[in-house]
Amino acid sequence: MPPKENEDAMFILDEIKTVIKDSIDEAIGSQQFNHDKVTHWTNGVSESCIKRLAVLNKPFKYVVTTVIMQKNGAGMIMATSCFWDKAADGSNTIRWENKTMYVIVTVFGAAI
Amino acid sequence: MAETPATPNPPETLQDMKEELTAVPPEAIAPVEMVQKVKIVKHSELPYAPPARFQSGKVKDFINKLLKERLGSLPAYDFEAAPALCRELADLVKYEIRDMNLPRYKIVVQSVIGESKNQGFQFASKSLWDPQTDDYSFGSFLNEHVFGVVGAWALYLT
Repeated sequence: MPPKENEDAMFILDEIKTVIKDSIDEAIGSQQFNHDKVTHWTNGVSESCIKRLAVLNKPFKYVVTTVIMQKNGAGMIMATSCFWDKAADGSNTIRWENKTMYVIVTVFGAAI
Repeated sequence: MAETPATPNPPETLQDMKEELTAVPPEAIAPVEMVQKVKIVKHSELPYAPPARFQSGKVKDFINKLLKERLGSLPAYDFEAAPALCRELADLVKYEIRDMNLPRYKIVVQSVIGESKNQGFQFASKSLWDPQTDDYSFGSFLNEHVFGVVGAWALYLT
């Protein structure tokens, strides 16, 4: 492998944020919660995230998780815990919501 | 005059004689057609194969047990105590995997707990990785008050 530029090998939060937002817009857009479509959406968001991350062409392994929850006043909390190289690896979580649901997407990137 | 018949290529030394006597004809070791059927199985195609693998089933059992223990006894969803509990669950699972001694593996754990009010909820994950070395595990719990999901991923540092 040719030597990489230092910036190329870094997990850049802003870049990932754009990736996640674009993926949510593409897969869900302005639709409201629909029980039959949720599986399709979670798959769609994750899939399109992975595709965009692959295009970035960086030396990372990625894990994308998508949570969709219907809004009805129920509380929810999410936590992550990782055992990795703090300097090289990173994660970014985006919370997106509309009138009827919450969508929370997390991308973990582990340098290889 | 009677001559003793000469043996063809008589062995010159004792060592040669011994080798000749103990030599096994090559066809006796492995017949040709048998050799062709032997399939060479490499231990792994990877030059960087991990010495230990992430055991998905064990982790799943641990998560399920842990969630049942910690969430099953809750009388109701407590939004003040939930953040600490959620973080604790993620940490416990992380420590459990870390203690499995997986060298060069990076561990990611994500936990979600929430109130069950018959709302729709879905947790999904997709990954970009090497399926030969990396793996994941999921565990979940649900009763009338709370639900909990914990996912764990192990990523091998190549």
